[in-house]
Amino acid sequence: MKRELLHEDTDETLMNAVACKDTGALRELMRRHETRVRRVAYRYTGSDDAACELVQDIFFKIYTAAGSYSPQARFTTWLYRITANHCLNYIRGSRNNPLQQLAEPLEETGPKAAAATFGTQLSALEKNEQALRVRQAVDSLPERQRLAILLLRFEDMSYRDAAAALNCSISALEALVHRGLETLKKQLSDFYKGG
Amino acid sequence: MVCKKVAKKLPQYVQGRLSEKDCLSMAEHLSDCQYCRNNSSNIKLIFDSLEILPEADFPSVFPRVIARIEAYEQKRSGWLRGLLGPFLPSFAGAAAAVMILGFISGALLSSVYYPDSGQDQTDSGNSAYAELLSDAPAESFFDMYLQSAGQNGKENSL
Repeated sequence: MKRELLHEDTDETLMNAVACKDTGALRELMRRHETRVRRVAYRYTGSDDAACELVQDIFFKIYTAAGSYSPQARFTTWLYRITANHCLNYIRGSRNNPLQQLAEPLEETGPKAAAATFGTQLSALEKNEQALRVRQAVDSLPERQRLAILLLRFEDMSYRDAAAALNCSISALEALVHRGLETLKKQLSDFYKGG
Repeated sequence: MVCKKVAKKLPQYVQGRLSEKDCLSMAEHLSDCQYCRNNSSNIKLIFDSLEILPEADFPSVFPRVIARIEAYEQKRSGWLRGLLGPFLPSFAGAAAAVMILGFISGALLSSVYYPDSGQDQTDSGNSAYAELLSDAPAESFFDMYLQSAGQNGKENSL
């Protein structure tokens, strides 16, 4: 009975239920939004383990901070802001290990990249190399530039929502994206020539 | 539009996020400016190349989140219980004793201070007022005034 109601409830209603310690409501929220949080966390960190830990942290935070959620704000905006904060804190925290981040794509993303549909002419090895190069270039970006580009590229977010998630103005976001793309262009320039 | 302004709006243009009006003015600029056209191609190339970044490949973390929540709630409820746990029966007994003592002492004190509490409010008020009057000096200021006024009257009449 309650389960059927949860499916029809808005995110904001579910958040009120979560504030009253309703884990069923949290389950429904996670069913709706876990994929996107996981996508951001994984593309941001480049590691399954780190992303898994981040997603747990984010939804645990949603549970503990549900009381402070204001229904006037859209839930997804709030969710992305928490996600962005956790991603930025993760990189700033002691868990960040740049060497590991650079090494992991070699080991882990290679086979996945090979499986991805990215041109049929290239061999799996070339695709692995491409994935690694792109991963390294993305990792070399400053945290906020990286997050801004990933949010806009993969989450289909408007500039207004992305700016809200990153807690900055739209023009500041435009500047972040512009600078980030300039860096990526320099990092990947020989890669394009070769490709 | 100038190139500097165009450069900031190009990502939105490439992703089709600009309004129709901005899109038209952007297209107009790009048709005349080779530099911005190259920029636009590069941005598209970069966005496309990001597609190669793989998707996350791990199951839902809901069971882990629930486990953390349960541990968290247990810890929270255990904090108060742990603090008061051994003393909890003593606290309850002490609270009950204080309440009973307060009730009894309240009843006793009310009988001492309000001995006529059985009568209605008006009677008790009058009796208290009469008690005050009985304590007053036999010759009040009013009597003294009347006496002096009488003497004055006699003097005036003389």
